[in-house]
Amino acid sequence: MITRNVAFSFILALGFVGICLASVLARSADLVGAGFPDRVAGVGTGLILALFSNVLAKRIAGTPAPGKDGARRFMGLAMVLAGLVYAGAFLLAPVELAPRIGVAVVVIAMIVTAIRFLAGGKASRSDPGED
Amino acid sequence: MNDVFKALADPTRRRVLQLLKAGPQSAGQLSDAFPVSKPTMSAHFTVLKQAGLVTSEKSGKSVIYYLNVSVLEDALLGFSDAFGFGRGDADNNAETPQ
Repeated sequence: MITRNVAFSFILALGFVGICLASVLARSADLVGAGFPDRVAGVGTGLILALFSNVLAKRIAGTPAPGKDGARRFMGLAMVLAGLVYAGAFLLAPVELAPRIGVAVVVIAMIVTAIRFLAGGKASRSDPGED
Repeated sequence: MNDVFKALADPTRRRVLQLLKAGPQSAGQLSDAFPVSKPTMSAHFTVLKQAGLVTSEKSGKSVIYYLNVSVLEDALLGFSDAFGFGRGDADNNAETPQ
């Protein structure tokens, strides 16, 4: 059974692929500049990352382990910001530099999230009130 | 999204969400933090659950509430608190969850 969320994701993916194809066609017809399709794909990828990261903490099944609920919310916030910076990089930075900036920011967000999860786990283990 | 705005419009419910940011709490612990009756707090919890902002789990005789907000909802909570949405209404109807 396809849920409403899965249907939304399929429609979003089809729309994104359609926009990317249209930008490639526009480039081949010489209607837009050389970097335009790359920028469209990059901005779309960043926005989709931000969109899905927004509900990341909500959609993880099960109740969070002690000390991990704050880390879940932090993960969502870090990935939303990373997605927006990724989109912003493809919108504003030189096209040859944008992928490096975008990927670096996403990797930094993942590392910071991992550190936050580890710190949350240690804090809950050392907290005598949790026992 | 309408349910979320409705839930965030009330300062008591916003305060409940702020308390849950520190970690999961039982219904009793949350109720003790407010000068309102338990049935009123129960109605507030129902509104928050309907909006999907909290989840609950039964643990023995008590119900444990967990914060369950998206990044956007968290930001809306911050904005609502910063601008004090619904503060005037709450002074008039402290016992009436809307």
